[in-house]
Amino acid sequence: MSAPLWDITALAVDAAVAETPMAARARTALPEAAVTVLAPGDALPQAPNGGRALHVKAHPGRFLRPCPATRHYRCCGYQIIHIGENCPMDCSYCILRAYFRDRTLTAFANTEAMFAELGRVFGRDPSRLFRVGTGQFADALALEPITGHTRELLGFLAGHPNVVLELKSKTADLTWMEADPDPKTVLPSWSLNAPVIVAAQERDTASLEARLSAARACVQAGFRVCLHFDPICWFEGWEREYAATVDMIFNYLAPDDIAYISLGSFRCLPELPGRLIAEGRELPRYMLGEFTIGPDGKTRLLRPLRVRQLRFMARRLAGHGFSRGLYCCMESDEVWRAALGQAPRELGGLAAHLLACAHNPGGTRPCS
Amino acid sequence: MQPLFLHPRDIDLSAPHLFWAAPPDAALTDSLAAQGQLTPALVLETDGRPILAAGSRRAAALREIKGRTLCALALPEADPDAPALAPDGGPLPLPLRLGLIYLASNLGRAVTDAMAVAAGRYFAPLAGLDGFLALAGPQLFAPDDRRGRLLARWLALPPALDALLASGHVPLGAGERLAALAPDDLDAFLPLLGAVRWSRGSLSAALAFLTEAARLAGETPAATLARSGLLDLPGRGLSPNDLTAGLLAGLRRLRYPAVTTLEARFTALSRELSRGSRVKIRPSQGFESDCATFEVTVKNRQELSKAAADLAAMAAAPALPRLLAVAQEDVSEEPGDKT
Repeated sequence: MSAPLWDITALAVDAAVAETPMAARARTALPEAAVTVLAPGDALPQAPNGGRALHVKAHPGRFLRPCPATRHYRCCGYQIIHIGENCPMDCSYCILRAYFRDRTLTAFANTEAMFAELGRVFGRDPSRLFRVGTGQFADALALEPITGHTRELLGFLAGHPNVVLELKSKTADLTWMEADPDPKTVLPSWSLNAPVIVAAQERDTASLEARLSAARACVQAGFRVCLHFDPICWFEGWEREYAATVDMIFNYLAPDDIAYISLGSFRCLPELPGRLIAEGRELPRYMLGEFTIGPDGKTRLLRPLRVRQLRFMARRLAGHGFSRGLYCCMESDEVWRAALGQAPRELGGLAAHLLACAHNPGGTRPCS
Repeated sequence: MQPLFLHPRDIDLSAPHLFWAAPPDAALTDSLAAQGQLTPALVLETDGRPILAAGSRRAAALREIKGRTLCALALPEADPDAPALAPDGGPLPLPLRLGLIYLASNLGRAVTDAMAVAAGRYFAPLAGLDGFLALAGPQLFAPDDRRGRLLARWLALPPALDALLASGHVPLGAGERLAALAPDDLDAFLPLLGAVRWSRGSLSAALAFLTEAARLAGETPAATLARSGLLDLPGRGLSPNDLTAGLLAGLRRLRYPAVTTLEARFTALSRELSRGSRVKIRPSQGFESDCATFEVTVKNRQELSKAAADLAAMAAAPALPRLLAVAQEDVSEEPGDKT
């Protein structure tokens, strides 16, 4: 018997969604999992053999929501389609550690309600452009072989060409391509990091080579892709390590293949290091940087050090011919100017700039 | 029980179960000389030899008074009516019984952290840590006292550190932090432990700065400390408060060279800018933005006018743009660079 996918040994399905196609797909994809149908109020079952549970349920609230940004820094205007919660991969820096306290994965199967809500928003004015994604509270594609969530969503979005869907992942899963979406409306994207961080701090993720190979496969199929250097970590030899990853990108992709690249220095809720220690892990060295608490209450690397990181990355990427669509994730105007030479205002606002990058390969705006 | 009259010099006053024994003071000696011994000591007779179980200060004082004997009551070797204390229900080994009698005879005394540790040093090798806490804990601590847990962690430290606890230089709560240091690192830090009176918080911060700085530098805390120059600080004649502040600031500089450089630059510029005024200048939160807060408290119109004039002068000062842009300057070092 092979190891269960993502170590999922229990499938718990709320009775309200037990007859949905997603629940059926999950049962098929997890033939060895202990299946439980939960009546309202039932507790989640314990996953057998030390595995984890996948909880297929209905989401009672809004599906489309803005990124949980803070007013103190510049947000990219990403809008989230809430398809599920938690991630089966295990990255030491992950913000989801703070959001979700157990290993249970959740997928929302009431897609009819989701499509009804999205249809109202996206259909109200077909000339209004949207840039949305599913990879905020979960990896966009980790559960795709089980839930088929993205394929279902892409089928729905085929009727809304004003929407570009970003699929942010650390897997190399491309099964969503079976939905045969219009390449202009999907931006498959990957989080990248320094090789040593990927190897030591991103458990159960696809290798850098696998991620970039998947990106190249997407480009060959007519898609443009997005890349995210977030978090950029500060450790001895970081410049050499990140340079290696930047250089590797252009072994697989040409600058024009990339819609945008984000840069984000490591930041976290102050309790994250304590959470790792409580899990019995040694604190990674990159978490011992020179951090201060920013006005949003998050721990951030001291500003001049962040500028040095971001400026280094920008210059390295520019050396390979990529500068359009490069942006800082959750940074101040001061950092933008010091690292990239301009503030979002000079791009016409970050959200508008990225919307243009997402929808228009050539770019009608002066994108640096 | 018949009283025994023993020559105090025949009694062993340095037995380990008398773990709180202290020299008698003049008041006790004077009282014994004037009024005689009012309360008998306690002994256990084994093989016809009396072992002092309680009353060591009285015995020591009587040694100083010529011709006096020690009046002691001999306890039975085993009390058939006493509840079984040994885990196997059998009689307690003699050393444990002696220790518990000594503790019981001191019941009601305020037990300091150092006294609890002294008791732990005696009992733990005989009964194990859990056995010690089960047997002696109720006599040492109130039921809701957290010191039992702290004490267990302290006992992992070398006994040489107990003197620093007794002298008030190191708090009991620092035991876990200190126990996490390797023996060589603890030895290296020892001169600083005895140099100031550490609170749990300040010592915890100091050790965190040191161990993290060492980890970033890829060396041992002992090596980091040796190159820091901080071991010379206690010899410079600083006041206790200044010495504590100096050590903490020095260790923080080791851990956060860039942050402290930025802070120092800001402090120097703000001093230059606000010299002669009562305006206080604070940087933005975490130096995140190119702004600063100017704060002044006034009690009347004259003070407000003066503050306004001071602020106007600051607005024109060449130091102002440098102060506002202080975080734009590079302060970086490679992680792990030795400072």
